[in-house]
Amino acid sequence: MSSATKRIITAKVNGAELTLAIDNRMTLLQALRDAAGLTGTKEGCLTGDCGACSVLMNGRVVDSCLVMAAEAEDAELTTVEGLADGTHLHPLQQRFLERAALQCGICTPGLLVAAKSLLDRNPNPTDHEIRYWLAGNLCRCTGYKQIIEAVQDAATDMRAGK
Amino acid sequence: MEPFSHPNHGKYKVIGTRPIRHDGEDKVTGRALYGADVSFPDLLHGFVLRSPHAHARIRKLDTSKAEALPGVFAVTTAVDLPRLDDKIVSSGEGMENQKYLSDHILASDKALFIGHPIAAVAATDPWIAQEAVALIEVEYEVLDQVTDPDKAMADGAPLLHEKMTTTILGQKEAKPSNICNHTRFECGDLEAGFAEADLVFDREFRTRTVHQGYVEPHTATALARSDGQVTVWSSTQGPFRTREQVAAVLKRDLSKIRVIPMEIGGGFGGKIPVYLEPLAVLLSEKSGRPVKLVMSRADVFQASGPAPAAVSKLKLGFKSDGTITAGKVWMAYEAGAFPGTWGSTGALCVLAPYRVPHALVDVYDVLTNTPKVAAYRAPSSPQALFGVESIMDEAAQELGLDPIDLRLKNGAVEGDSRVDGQKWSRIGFLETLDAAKNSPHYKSPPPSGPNQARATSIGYWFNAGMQSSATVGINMDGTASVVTGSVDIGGSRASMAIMAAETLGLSAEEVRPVVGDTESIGHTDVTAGSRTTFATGYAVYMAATEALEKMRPRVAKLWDCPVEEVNFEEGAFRHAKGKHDPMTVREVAPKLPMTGGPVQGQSSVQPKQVGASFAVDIADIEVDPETGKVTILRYTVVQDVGTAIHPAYVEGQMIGGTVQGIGWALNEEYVRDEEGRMINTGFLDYRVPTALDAPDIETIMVEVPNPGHPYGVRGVGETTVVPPLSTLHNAIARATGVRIRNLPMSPPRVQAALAEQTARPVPASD
Amino acid sequence: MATVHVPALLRHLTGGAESLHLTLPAGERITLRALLERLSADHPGLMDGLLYQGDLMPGIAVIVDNDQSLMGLLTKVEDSSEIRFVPPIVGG
Repeated sequence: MSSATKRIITAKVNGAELTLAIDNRMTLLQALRDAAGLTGTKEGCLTGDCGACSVLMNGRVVDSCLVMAAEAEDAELTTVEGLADGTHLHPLQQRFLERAALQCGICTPGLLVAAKSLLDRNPNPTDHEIRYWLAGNLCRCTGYKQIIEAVQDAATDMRAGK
Repeated sequence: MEPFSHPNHGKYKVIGTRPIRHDGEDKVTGRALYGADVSFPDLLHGFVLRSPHAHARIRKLDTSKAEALPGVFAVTTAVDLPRLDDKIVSSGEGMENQKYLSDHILASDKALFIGHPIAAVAATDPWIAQEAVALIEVEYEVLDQVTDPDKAMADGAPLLHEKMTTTILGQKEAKPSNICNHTRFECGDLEAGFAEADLVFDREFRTRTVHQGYVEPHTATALARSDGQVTVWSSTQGPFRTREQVAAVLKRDLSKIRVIPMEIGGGFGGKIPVYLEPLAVLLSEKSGRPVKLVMSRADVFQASGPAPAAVSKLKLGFKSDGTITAGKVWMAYEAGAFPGTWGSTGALCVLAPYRVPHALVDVYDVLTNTPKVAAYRAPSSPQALFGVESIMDEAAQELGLDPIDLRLKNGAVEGDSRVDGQKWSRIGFLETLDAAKNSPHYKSPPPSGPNQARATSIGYWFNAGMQSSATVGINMDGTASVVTGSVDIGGSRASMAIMAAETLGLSAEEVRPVVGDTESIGHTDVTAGSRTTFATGYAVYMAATEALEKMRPRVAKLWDCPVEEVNFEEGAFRHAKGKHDPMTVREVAPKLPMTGGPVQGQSSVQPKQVGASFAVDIADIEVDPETGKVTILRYTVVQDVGTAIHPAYVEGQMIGGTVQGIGWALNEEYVRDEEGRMINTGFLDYRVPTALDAPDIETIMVEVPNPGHPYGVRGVGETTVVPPLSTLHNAIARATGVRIRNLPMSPPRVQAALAEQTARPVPASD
Repeated sequence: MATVHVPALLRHLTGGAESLHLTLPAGERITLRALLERLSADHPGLMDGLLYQGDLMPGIAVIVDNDQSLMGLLTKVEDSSEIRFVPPIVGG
């Protein structure tokens, strides 16, 4: 790539400061996957309609395919790779496994990030509130029922301090 | 094999439990590697030039400016593809003429659909690749196009392949046409059958093109070496089938090509054909570097393989007690730009659930200037059964019969003949109907508010057997590994571990399931056809059984007794006369080196006693007459699942398939403009059900074991996409009095149908 | 008598007959190809209707006594055999 379009950005990603060489034309999704090697966040549509690329940026769920990488300068980002605490899975991750809330798994990273964002704000959501919050994350395999159940289980865990 | 009578049925130790899937942690932590996650330091990015025209002759193609752009390392067009003979082959998806294979990958003289690949480039970054594609000069002579199957059948329709005539078995028709296949089944005496009927329905139905909608786009990365060895990393439902297609298109030996299936983000049948792999190989060969291609979402819609639109004209005759006397079927399925034979499967499906003594079924596959269609979950069955199940419901209404009773009266059982003459094996259709009739949902009072109603409908899929291989290796500590060639799309590797564990007397956690590639396991057909738990599970059972059989003489050596006195029962090797304490596999394994060495079981199978799976759906809905929106108040799916190896994943298939069917029924369609261009090429406007759209779905699993499998397994994955189309159509009809025989029943169509109804003096069925 | 069910689109070659029969001596087993050759003697064109480049049309399944044979025209049949030709089932 030509040097005219290159830039260095620094951001806090999953709690650690990362310095990345990016191209100005890169989206945050590309920067995470190709520059930082964090391939957990997935590409589904590149138009912000499927949510597979969801990450938390300064506390908000965003479709990283719609954010320019350069916008992430000084931002605080959480991706699926940052949900577990070392070897201790986040309750959402654990409950997704127990409830079989994933089949192919491609939507799972985005869903986990979006669900975490919900539970951070609303520790006791109704099923409808969960469905509403996750409506921006498409899943074509599961039909969503087991996902909703997993989020409820995780909410219960988190309210109990797990 | 003997009829199913597994001694432990009903008392399994591992089958029927819900262990956490072995690949689960990697998938919830982002560690699992999918196709697009492959990378190399010297990777090149590929980009495809696609036809903007639905039908055009390619007069000139000049790639020189693209080749000259700095950063471009390879450009490929159809001239790089070998000429393939005009030869019909069995592709695993019916009959195909292989000469069309290369044209599908890269257009030679004609572009046949919008999105048809014309050329591909590989460059050091995606932006240069896109810029290069824009520099390719193409001169098109635009031709008349046709996108509706019935218009494409008409005399005078523009011909896609000028010399193609309808091939009916071995005979060709004289006149060229767009009808690429005609299937007919005939039994009994149709005229006599209708003469017996007290009630005859003659109806026409139409469904539109829909897409499988997998969230992961197609992707392939290839590395070609100068000695001809090629490695392909692919998002595919079957590495062996991908390898065959790449080898066929490029005319190579299979041994030169290794296909490594990455974790796959959904397929549903759409990732059986190859699109990108041969392009990646060609670009890698020309550049000497690995090349990655990823389809954009718009390309996925326009240039992969959607499910066909269909038109059906159905005539069914009933006696006043509800017995079906005769059936006449005429259907045309969209084939897309290249010939295929999905219509023949539709012909097999359409009247199959019922006893129809007198029938004539004619089904056509018709070429259209649209992407070549591919399989989508029970392919051709939803389109076929939509109309039949609508008529069944109309008949139930008119005859004053309970709709489930009408199905019970006519429903096929083991030994009944279908219109194609084959007989049903052991199926659980009636059991599933009974379970639906006795379900809490069906027994509860139906919704009684304005524009509310309950309806029911059925669906099924034959399921497939095909070829699978497995190895079961006994580790030195008695834990085991299971290697299969079946890509894991929905949790199947956990079921492989469960079946191996059950056979070996281990726990699921003590077995490690592995998905191999084309170099590490024997030939295995695609993960599709609801065949994986059935056929690959069969291979796993046989391989595990072989491993046990190889261990018997080892135990005999340890016990110093004849091998006939050693049997494996209830999870351990036991002495026939009780002279020795039983030994588990874990206890025998450390003794393997001293008694003869390592033990591994292997099996390659082609099991034929496949079990079909039936489902019955019950839906309570409310229609908003102002907006046309249909709200699902309650939905239950009842399915015969054979034996539920891992119940959570069986439930997942039931719910997932149903929600896809709901999307197909209520909203999904390819919207095309006058030039045949799809205008809703993204997930915003090709709206698949979101978490908010999908209702909560109750599942009831009926287990009628399949005698053709050691653990009674029946395929379950595909069936549930079928019933929602007619269930919701029937419910809307019962709620509003209007039968909308035109899918999807989206809000504008419901509004229009209701408006038309109120404009007429009497409520009429459309 | 061995029975061959004629695909509906080939029945114009058999005068509309849905099935054809041939008596085989007890114990004799012949290939399906041989059986069809004998039947084609009385119904010209019948075998051609099922062949492609000399072999069974790809994509047609042979069903003998309600069981699928994967051997195509090499399938061995006998006097009690009931033979059908159908499209195979796959899936997605």
